[in-house]
Amino acid sequence: MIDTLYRPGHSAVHSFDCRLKLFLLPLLLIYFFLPLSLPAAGLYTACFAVLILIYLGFRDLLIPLKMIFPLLILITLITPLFHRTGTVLISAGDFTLLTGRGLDETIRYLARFSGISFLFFLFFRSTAMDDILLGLSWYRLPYTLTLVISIALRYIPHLAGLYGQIKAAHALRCSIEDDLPRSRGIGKIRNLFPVLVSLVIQSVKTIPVLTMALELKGIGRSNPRSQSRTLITPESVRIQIFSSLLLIALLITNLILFSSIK
Amino acid sequence: MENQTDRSKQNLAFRIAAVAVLTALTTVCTMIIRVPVTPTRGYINLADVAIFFTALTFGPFTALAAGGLGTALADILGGYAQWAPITFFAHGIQGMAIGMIFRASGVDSRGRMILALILSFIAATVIMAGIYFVTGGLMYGFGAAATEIPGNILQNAAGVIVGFPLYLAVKKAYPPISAYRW
Amino acid sequence: MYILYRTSACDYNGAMTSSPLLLEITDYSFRFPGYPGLESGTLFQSMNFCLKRGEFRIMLGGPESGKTTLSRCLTAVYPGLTQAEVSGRISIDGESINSRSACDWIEQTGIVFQDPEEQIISTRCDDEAALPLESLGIPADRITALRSESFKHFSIEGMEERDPLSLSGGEKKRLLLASLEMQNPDLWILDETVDELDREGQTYLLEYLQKKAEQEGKGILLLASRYRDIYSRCGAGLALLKDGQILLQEDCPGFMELLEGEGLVSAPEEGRGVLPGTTDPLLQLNNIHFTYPGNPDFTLRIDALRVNRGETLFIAGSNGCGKSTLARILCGLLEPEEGEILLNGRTGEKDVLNRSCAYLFQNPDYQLFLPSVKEELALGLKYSSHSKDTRRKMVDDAVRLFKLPSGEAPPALLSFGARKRLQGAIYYLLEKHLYILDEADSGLSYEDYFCILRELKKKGAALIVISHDRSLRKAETGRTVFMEKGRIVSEEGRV
Repeated sequence: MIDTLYRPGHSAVHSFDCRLKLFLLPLLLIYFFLPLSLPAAGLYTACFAVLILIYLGFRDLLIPLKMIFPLLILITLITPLFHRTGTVLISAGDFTLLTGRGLDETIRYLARFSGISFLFFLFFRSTAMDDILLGLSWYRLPYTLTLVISIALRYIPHLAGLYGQIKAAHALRCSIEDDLPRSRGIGKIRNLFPVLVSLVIQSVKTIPVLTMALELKGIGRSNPRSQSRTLITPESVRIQIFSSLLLIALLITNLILFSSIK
Repeated sequence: MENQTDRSKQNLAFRIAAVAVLTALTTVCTMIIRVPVTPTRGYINLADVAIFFTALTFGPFTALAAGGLGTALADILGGYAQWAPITFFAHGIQGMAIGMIFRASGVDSRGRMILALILSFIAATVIMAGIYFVTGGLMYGFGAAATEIPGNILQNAAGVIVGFPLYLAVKKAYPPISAYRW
Repeated sequence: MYILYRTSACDYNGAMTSSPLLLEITDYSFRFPGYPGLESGTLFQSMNFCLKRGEFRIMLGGPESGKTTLSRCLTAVYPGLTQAEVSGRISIDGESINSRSACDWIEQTGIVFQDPEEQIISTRCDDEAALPLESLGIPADRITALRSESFKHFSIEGMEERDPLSLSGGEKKRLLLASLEMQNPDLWILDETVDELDREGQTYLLEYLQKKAEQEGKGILLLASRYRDIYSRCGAGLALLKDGQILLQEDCPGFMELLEGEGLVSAPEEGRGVLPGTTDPLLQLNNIHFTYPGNPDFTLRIDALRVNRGETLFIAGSNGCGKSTLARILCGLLEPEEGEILLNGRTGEKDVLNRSCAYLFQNPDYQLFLPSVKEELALGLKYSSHSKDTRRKMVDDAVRLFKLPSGEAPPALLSFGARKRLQGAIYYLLEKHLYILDEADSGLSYEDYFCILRELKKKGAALIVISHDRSLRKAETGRTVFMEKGRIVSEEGRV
């Protein structure tokens, strides 16, 4: 029922060290918001699209696009209306529909938003949740936090299944001859309510049991913990670090050369 | 009975357990339980219901952690990963605000309760819709971001309208829950 | 120092050995808190017990005798969040269990839960097994070495990267046993661990535990809800947990008769006034084919199955053979891809099946959500045509017939047996053609089971019981259908 974005693979992005990916992700994200000239910004977004295309394939390029296309249309329709200065490109009578600056801004927003979507998609498609957590703990994220996330991931499919069971159980609470009122709209919420109450009670009841399970695994001890499983450092890690540094240098140069602030 | 050991170690385990389970519950409410509101393709998810319940039952800090993490995980799992960091703050702070308002008001009299409900609805809406508006504006323009405000208000309204009765119903059906607050 | 304790609690057989006491329970009482409509329940009353190093004991107790609570008290997680009233003393190696938090006891005591899913918190088997050792700060290479050894002992090697929840019931228990072996505490508590293992696994486990106790001086306490012949052969002492007290085999002359009396040996052969079924078909399944989306490994294929009006039909088979899937199809909760379901000779639509069939889920809590038993019972009558007074009377009758503690009690706080009876009562009040009891044997006493069965049968509807327990099938007459890998393989008994 729950399907994560991750797909195992052997591409270069897959074998890229998770810690490096975690380091690059925020930098690459911030870069979208820096004042770049329009062609440079467009090129930057195109890079991610090309990366997905090369390493993950054409189908995977469509997945994030499918998710964001309603918003892309919305951006195209609405953004021009907020920028009325500059040369008028399209107008309906007295009403200006599109100006040069409006077009400029629209393209910039489209590039930025789809670029960010591609970046995140690339990251989560090629990195297992497990590795992300191990990578985060390498960056000294407190153990309790990674523990909470991993337990939550264990319980999500459980609760999702429980929801299905509870819904089924409630559906059977009627007799052969009963005349059930048909429900639409608000009525649906009313029908959902008992299911929701059962689900919440069931969830809350697991808390004390889980507390016990955690205590019995020694969570709460004051001695330092050890870690039995750590990230496997890929063989080509030196090349990866080198190329990451190169990438950062390239991006900074690019920023200096093609900044939109004059 | 011999002297009690200090409960802090158990409390740590309990807090981890509570936050983890409620995070999972929030994720499930966000991703799976969807209520169609319009015949076309308008859905409201129950994320805000879960957050409202968590804030009322477990207090502001659990709501911050579980509300933020739960919705962020739902974004990651559901393929809207680019939203996850923003969602964490939008829903986390929203949950914390609701929890703080209810903690400050105390839930003793009917009048104060209604006041707290109204206040928390306003605070939750302003925080959540506000954060989404500002960050959305930076990502793809304030014009497009503004169109999401009504939907977010609706979400919050559903949160209060369903979340509060849910809290009452669960408290009545499972009394030990009142001891879980911290 | 323990000599002093010996006279207080452990003067049971005079024959003192030199092995030191590991666990000692002295004058221990445990009382759950009460809630409106539900009296507080005393579970243990001045209980005394002790376990020496090197001793392996099997403690039997019926459902709700407090086995699980006891196991939790012994690992220091109870009273914890339960708000229970506790008095007396439990000590391990002479140290009171209250003196430390549960997490600081894990080197001394360890447990395997009755329900493995409650204990598993990771999404990988290797992580699950490593967690306690990581908490103890044991170096990674040592953990890996211990793990590969323990996984071999319990034959789960090669499953390190799998999700524990995807394992079968028996494999989950073996994973937790391996994890306990790695943790290697002094006191091992195993809550109904023998169940769900196959015969071979049971024998292996008992021999293993006996050896562990003797050679390494561990104290091992195995809790069980049913007596098995292999227990008497494994060299372990027996004990009975009854009415909040622990009785030892060596203290009670007629110990086996006592177990028999508690219904722990076999199901009572009740020649109940069995209402004979008819040969009048109620439901007919023809050429049913079903697969779960996204799971190509399992297909359910039922060529023909007939359920007659008023009969009792047992469905038996191992885990994952498709029993529950079949039950869901009968209730209209799942729609088959092919084939037809005839109800009273007409095609059964999803909606019609939903109304005609009742499905008592293994977990009774799925249906419970209201604050009191009465409200819960009255809910199903909301859309019926009965008058208000009749409804009230029906609800009162149901409370009495199903021996529910009171109409005001909050359902979520009732004991498992009572919740299960409440679930039965809810369906008793609904008019249905068919009642399906899923995994009726798990955690339910024979008495409760027969109570539910008897009352539902009186309604004259057909009954389908899904059960592992052979003795349940013996006590009732009816057909049994055996399933394997999504197919019906054989049938026995007559209508």
